[in-house]
Amino acid sequence: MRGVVAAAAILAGCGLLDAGVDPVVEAHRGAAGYWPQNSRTAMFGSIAAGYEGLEFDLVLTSDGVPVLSHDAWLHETLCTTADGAAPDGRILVQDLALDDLVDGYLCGGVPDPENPDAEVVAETVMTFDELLVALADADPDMVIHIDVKYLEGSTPEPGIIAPAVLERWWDADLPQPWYASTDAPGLLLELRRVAEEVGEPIVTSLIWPYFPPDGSDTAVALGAEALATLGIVDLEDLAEDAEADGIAIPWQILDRRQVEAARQRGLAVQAWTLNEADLLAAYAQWPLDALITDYPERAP
Amino acid sequence: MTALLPLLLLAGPARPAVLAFDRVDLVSEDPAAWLNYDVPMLGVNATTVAVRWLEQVKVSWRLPVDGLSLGTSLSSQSVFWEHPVWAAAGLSAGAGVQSALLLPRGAFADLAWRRGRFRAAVGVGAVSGATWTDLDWTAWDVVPTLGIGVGRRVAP
Repeated sequence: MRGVVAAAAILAGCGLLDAGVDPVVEAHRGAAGYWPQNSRTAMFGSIAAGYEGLEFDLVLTSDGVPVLSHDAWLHETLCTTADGAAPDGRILVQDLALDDLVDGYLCGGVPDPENPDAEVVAETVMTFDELLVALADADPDMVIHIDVKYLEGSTPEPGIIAPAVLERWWDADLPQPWYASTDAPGLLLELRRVAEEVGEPIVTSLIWPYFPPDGSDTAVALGAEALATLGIVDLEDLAEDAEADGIAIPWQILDRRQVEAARQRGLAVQAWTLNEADLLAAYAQWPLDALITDYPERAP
Repeated sequence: MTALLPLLLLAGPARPAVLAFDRVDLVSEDPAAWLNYDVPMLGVNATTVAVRWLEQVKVSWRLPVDGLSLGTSLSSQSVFWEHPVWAAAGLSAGAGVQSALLLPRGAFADLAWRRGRFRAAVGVGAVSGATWTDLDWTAWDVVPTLGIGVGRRVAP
């Protein structure tokens, strides 16, 4: 029996091997563990801290201006009206012109229950244009991860979103390496189509699986796990269908063998959202391209 | 599992007419990913390790051909042939092919020891990344395997 245990211990060591890859540590939503997610304070804070990577989310206003927001609507907990009242239900960003959004709402002035240590700062929503100006002073090696949001009926269509984001990025002519991601394959295809049309390079990543805003995260994760285990879905196929260069997966369902296979085929693999120091240390040994975290300071 | 109980109770040591329960592998040799890739993450990702343990728990059934068995788990289905190499010591050697949703995906071989209801095996497995959505057998992983199972009593 002792032999069996010893054999198990030796065998179990295989997955501990350091893949020899140094994943980029990305500040998720501008390091939401320290500052209000997707806020101006978070973006300036992450740039000043010199993090390796910066991830943020974009949604379009009714006048086609990309602003930083994770959801198609103003954050239901973190955002208030300008006079401090709770918003009346979900306020879709696409229903507000930029001026109305800036004049009427503040975000980040309410403690974030998901990130209790984050600073509480009430600010107007930051525009992508403002962020692009700020990035001119950022480390030229900082990896910029633009997560573009699309939700049918709640955001403009991909044909409007893609040029609004990409043209701004290209016009800014920033030196930083960058890639765009989204959980909507149709938007990824549109981003690539726009890039090819104007002859600009683009790197994209598919966020998988798709988590419906009001669905059960656990059910989605278990479903994705089952589909991958049974071989009904294949990471490379998913990325190929979306013409993506990479795939971003929640750490809970990462499978090292699938990750290795994907990278052997030239796909980048990003993991989200790892927030504990031991988790970051463990997955830093994997062949991943990026570790996306609310707490970049906890990364090894 | 409850639905299988009558079959388990009926199962005997004689050669089966069709299928007879042989054992449950709590640690399965195919596809061996759990031990090699998931167990090391136990300290940081226990939930996934537990889910994937369930996925790899394999029920083996004896087929009507001497030494041949069929193994089924969520993550793998395999046909395995086993032959005694030192019967008195309970040692046998075997080899099998494994599939994912019945798509052939790899092979494995082992040296096993059985005593009473207990079976332990060590071996080596080769697994491709082929799936029904990606019929690609060009990339292979070769990994050590370990099997730990309990099942029908085998005479010493």
